[in-house]
Amino acid sequence: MVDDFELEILELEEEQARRRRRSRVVSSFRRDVPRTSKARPAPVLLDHVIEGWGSKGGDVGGEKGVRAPTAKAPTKKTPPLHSSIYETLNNLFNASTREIETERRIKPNNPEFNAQFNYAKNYIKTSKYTLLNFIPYNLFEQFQRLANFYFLCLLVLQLIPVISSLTPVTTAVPLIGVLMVTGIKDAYDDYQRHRSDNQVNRRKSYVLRNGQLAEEMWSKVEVGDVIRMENNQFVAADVLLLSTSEPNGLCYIETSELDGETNLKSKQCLPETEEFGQDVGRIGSFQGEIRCEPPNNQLNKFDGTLYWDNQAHPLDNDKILLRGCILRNTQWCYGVVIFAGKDTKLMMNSGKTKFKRTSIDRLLNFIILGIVFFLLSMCLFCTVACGIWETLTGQHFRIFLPWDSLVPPEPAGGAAVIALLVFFSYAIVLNTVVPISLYVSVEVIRLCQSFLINWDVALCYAPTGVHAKARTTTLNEELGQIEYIFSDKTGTLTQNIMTFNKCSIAGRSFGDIIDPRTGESLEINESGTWIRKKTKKSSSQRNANLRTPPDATVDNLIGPLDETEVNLLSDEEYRQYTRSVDLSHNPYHESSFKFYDHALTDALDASDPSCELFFRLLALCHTVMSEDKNGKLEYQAQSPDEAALVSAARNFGFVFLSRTPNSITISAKGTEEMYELLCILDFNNVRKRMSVILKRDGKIRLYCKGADSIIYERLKDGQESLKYHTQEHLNKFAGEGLRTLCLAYKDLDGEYFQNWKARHHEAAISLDRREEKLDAIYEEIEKDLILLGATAIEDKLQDGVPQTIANLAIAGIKIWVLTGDKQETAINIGYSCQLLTDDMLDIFIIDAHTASEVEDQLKKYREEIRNVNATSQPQTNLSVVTFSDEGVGQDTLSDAGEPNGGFALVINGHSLVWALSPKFEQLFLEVASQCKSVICCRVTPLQKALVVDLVKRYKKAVTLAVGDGANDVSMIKTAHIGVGISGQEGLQAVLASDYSVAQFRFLERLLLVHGRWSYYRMCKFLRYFFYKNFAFTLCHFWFAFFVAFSAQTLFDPMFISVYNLFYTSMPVLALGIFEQDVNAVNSIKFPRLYSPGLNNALFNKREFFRSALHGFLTSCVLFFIPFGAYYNGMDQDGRSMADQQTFGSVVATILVIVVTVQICLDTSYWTMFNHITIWGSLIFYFLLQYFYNFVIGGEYVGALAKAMGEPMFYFTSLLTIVVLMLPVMAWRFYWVDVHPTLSDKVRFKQRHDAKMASKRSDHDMLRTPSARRSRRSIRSGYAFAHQEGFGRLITSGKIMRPRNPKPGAMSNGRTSNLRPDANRVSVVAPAPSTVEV
Amino acid sequence: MPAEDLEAVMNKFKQQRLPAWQPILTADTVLPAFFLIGLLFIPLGVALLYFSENVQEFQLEYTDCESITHQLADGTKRPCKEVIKETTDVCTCRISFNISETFEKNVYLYYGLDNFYQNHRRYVKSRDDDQLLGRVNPTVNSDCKPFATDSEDKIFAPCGAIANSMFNDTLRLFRKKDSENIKLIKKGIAWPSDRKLKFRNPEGALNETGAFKDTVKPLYWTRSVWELDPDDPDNNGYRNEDLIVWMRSAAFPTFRKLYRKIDHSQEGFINGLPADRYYLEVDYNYPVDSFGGKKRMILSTTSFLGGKNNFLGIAYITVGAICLLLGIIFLIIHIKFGKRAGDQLSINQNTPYSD
Repeated sequence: MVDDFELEILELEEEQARRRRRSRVVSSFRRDVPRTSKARPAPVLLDHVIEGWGSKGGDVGGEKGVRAPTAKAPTKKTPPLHSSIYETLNNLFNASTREIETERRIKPNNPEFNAQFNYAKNYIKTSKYTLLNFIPYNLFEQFQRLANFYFLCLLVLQLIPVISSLTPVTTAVPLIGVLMVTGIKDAYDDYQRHRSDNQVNRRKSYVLRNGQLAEEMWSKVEVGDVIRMENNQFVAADVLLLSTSEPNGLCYIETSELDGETNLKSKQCLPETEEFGQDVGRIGSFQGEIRCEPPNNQLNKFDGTLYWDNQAHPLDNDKILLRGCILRNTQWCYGVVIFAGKDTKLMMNSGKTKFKRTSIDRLLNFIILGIVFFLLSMCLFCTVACGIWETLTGQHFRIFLPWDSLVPPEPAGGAAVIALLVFFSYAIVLNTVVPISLYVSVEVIRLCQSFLINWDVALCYAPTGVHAKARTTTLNEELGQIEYIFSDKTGTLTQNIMTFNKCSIAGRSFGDIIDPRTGESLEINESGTWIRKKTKKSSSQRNANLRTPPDATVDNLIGPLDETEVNLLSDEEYRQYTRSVDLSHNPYHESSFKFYDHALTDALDASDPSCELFFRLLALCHTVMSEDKNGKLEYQAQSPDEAALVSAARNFGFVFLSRTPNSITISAKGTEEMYELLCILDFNNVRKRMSVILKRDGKIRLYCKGADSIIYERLKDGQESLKYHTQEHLNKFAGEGLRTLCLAYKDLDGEYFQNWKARHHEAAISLDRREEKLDAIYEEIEKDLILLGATAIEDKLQDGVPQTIANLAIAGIKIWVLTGDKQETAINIGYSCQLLTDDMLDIFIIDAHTASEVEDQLKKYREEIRNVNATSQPQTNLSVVTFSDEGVGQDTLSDAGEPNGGFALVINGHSLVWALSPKFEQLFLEVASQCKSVICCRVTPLQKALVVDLVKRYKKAVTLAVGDGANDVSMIKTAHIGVGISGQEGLQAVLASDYSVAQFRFLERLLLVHGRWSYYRMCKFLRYFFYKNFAFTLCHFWFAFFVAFSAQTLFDPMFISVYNLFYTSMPVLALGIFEQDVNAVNSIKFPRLYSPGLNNALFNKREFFRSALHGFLTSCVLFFIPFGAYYNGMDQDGRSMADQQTFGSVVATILVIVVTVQICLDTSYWTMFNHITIWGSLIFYFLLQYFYNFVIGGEYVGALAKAMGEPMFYFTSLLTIVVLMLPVMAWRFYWVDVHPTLSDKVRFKQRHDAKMASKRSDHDMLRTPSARRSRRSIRSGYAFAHQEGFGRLITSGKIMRPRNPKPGAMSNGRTSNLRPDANRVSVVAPAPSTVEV
Repeated sequence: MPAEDLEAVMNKFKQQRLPAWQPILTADTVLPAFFLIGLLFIPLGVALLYFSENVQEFQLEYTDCESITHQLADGTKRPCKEVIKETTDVCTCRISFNISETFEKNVYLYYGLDNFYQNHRRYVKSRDDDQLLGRVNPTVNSDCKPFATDSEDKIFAPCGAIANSMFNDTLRLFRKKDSENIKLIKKGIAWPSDRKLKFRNPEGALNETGAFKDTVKPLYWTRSVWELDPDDPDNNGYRNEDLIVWMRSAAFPTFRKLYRKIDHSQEGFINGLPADRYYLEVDYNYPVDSFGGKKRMILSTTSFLGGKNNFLGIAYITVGAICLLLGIIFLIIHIKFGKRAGDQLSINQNTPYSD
């Protein structure tokens, strides 16, 4: 026993140590960030350096010289800081005892040199066991579980004859069973891990070995190797870029695996190494030395130096490709491996796989510890009592029952020794209060529930056929207790597809699809089904619409409920009106582009000038680049919004063909037009607009697109009507959650432009306050614009996201969105998925950069919340009174729990750094937890995990993190439950997750149906399980009073060993698998049914005590009623019936019957399996009794048969059952009848509906939409690109292929007929990044 | 089940849409159940009580009975319990008693022991079932220790503490008026199943050279196991019913075991045990004094339910009464506070889980 507790204490201590370590990591990370920000050249770029990837090709080349010293400085000046980071990281992420690395030195192409440092290999291992160590290691791990160890101790005790009150078999059989089942499961899990490890390790990569390119597996790649990467391949390790196929050593990568963003990022190698090209000989003889920082988890930071030819070249993040990136638009590139395997930033960011336990597991451990104490105290009681008995009676009874030879013969000592031995004997007899089969049964139930999740067709995403998958089978019931959901945005809430959805041109709105029959607008969902927008007639809002009812999406695939919707699709008439416009006459059209409003094509066909100008603007005013891919024109944009706009223009016949630094070529309705590009006034966060100035046929024109508020300020006077209509459309678009942009243009006077251009140049080259001056210059020319219209882009939400969020919110789950997006985009998405609504009282935005400012903002918001809460409290009371006056039972839509619209919090990543510091984290959490929704934008993967951890630590709430990208991995691993969105390209999130689903909306069913059921079942199961074990075991305790506390068992040892295994396990297992109080449809329809899980109401210490007490009383009745009946009992022929075997058999039989009847009362969903198991286990009991006693020849042979031959047995049984069941029935009936829960009511309703179903064929389901859903946002919204465009690259000409390629880059195998060779210069040295033109 | 049906069931199972009976506790079902149980239990209880009351029972404790064979020199009677401490001679007591009412047949004679822990763990396991089944093994169950073998390593037959401590008082009943020894039947007192399944003699003649070769009589026994009933081989050795009865260890420290049945074929006892004066003669051998034990002689008739025991009858009546009471209380509660069907059905998304 003592060992048990020590073990637990050790575990606790380790936990604390882990926590301490973690907090150190956090704090060192925090210290680290401001240091980085100091090295920043200009405050405006702050965002990019901290959270972004710092991937702006433009500012790198030019500032190299300036930056190098600052970048290198920290490595040398503050080595302790680094070592502390590394030390903590080392502790956190890998337990290896490697010496702490302070600086990494690598010589490319010199394996001997690199080998001395013993850097981590690129081999990745997540598996735990090997074939050889499996049995010892797995057994060792299993015996670390308290319960298993406890039973091992018991087994050892039973082997001692003096103590043994039961044969060892009674414990050995179940224990071996448990160990085997668990072992098999562990082995299977580890096999899966081995497989996925192998899959990754066996990926192929080209490595330069002895001057030759060789194909190697990823696992064989080592630090210092030069590897060749090709287009669309994953990068195998963190590498230093040496040379690429693209001009100027640029290469493009997609980082969706790392941060979830799919847009391209550019990286650029050192100009010196770029010259290598793909000359393997030159690369193979490259003999520099790289010195860089040790491995760390910061994705956007790299410090290092390349010493080569007696020169030091500073290296920064811009020259590093990270493992997990995919090479795009780059034929090939070469790089030196810097970090491999577990040292890569990807792995460093993925955190350690932690064994997750559910809160019920923890409670169970606690309870079992409690039971052990209870058991020990019972044993102690029996010990004392036994001592007394032996002293008073036992020692005299020695004439008939001498003491054992090892017991001292003198009375006091002998009694003491016997009493001491009895302690252990009772520990064995009563050990069944700690049920060994509990753990196995729990695992079996969870496994079945996991299969049920995997099988559920309603969780299957039809278009891809991807099922939900429970990857961890031990967390199911926790799904029913989620209080916080942390969601990624891109790819999780949204499809990560931007589509050109609607537009307003010259006061005319295009893009709506109207059902000509009903006048309702239609909407298409992701799977291509048409859905009628339901417009609430009573609503005063024009756009108040509901999409699919919440459960229709679920039933879409299986239920008969939505037949009408299917009809909509198949209806020929609807097809005609919902046919997308035919654009096939345009050779450049993309088949994936869909637009349904024929009015726009009609207008274009009619050569409507505004429409033409509108699309011409879209084709011209952008920083997108084109390329030819297998003869198909493709666009590359920094932001998906821009790509969507340019692609829309292309599909409507205004095709952007190509660009040079000073020209843009488009094809307008088939005729090629070339424009001279005079200036790009690029986008940034402050300007929120971009313009191009173009010249064609001598006319200079400025095209501008930007946020509506910004454009409206700069419009020429006198377009009031147009402005009004456009604004109306903008409002409408924004209300639908679309991202809007205004388009405008302006003709420029040639002379004025020359003048302006001169001043612009002046500003551009000035060294002092350049940004400000440029802004002012831009401001000057971007005015008096003529409004053209507005575009509306849909950042397509996944299907059902708003409904899911709304429903989950009603269920009481708080949803936090953590996204790498910038603030505006995040807010926009917040509105479109109903996280933010207009009826919210206030939306707090925290965007400060310093600790004190963040603190001020937080305190201010806290005050505000307090004020509102203080004033609104009495109002709520009042409103309750009015409701009750109006009459009870009337449906009221208002939610009493939410007197106001609540608050929302939006916090930026750089503020989060401070908000998460130990000093402010509680303040932050206090504010955040009072808000209905929280959006964290511009957060890094680690910050996501820290936020989750913060809530986990302070709120004692169950958290769920959902995401799809590698950037969500740390968050997924940190949260109690991690959900990965599968079906996307990257698998990192799914692999790290506990559950994977194809779509965000499946969370609704996963939580509200599966989670709720799992929790409900598990709790019911546990309550019953403890009840039946207490009822069973405590009979021995009562018997102790009659057997001189000698640890004589009441029951047959055989019965004891199989009671849990055979007689009572099946019905309760069936309960744990099949039980449902409320069906799936109603579980979703009434989300409040989720609240018992949130409140931990179905199984907690109190419920346990109740079950234990129930078991205690049951055992009491079970023992004493037969005692009363059989005391001095005799049969009809006078034979004595009060022998120990008969009495034991009678009690055992009644016990089995009683617990079976009890499970009948508990089962509320009787499937045929329940019938089979319940009746079956009763029949099985009698059969097995007969078989064991009469066929095998058990000790108790004849006892039960004799007892059952007498009427006494039946009278006793009936009495016992009635006495035990009546109070239970009465208690339950009272609560159902007088205080029914929602669950009871819904059950009642279900039965009522089933009765009514036959009578009412046309049953109009009255749905009461939530307050949240019924209101749509009316506001002026805008959103724009994630990032600054490629403007600088374009105008500097860096990106363009030089006319005469250098010899080294000769053999890049690309033909480019789309790219006119109009480049004036072959740019060798990159132009200064800050000069625009 | 045809394959497609099985598939349909599997599919329903996987989608958790198996057809199911979903009982709900409603007033319509619960309240009638209460009344029904109440109305059923009270008459049942009365009947049980009637049966129990019909059983006639007479108990006589003889622990401290005075010897008629051993007297002090001065003529004062000595209790047998003292006598047996000093001598191995048979000490006989005689206690007279009065049966005031005729005992209907059949009448059974029991001996009862108080505070005798036949159910003690070490006692219960101190036997060898194999030996009692007539299987001859070179060793016996080690649980028999210290009554497994004697100092010469000869096995006790039967071994163990239970057998060793077998009750060995002899009880005889006499009618006072004519000192007639009432005939008692000593067979049919053990369970048939025990005689059939648990007790068998080893092969061979029931003597020390045959079946019980190489065994010795238990330490406390005065006779060997094959001398328990030399007249009736079927009642001798391990199959002796007194032994079988004793070997079925009692559940509680106070117990009674069937000793004999009154032979109702003898004259005067055809209809039972008539009301009269009787006396009991005991060959007092069994010591219970040291641990505070008590010995009793019990005469009893039986009923449909066995012996005299009012417990069930009273319990049934009580439970039935409580049921009726609960039924009435819940009827009132239901009428006054119970939720109407309309209330139950008026729920929406925002209905809180519990009120």
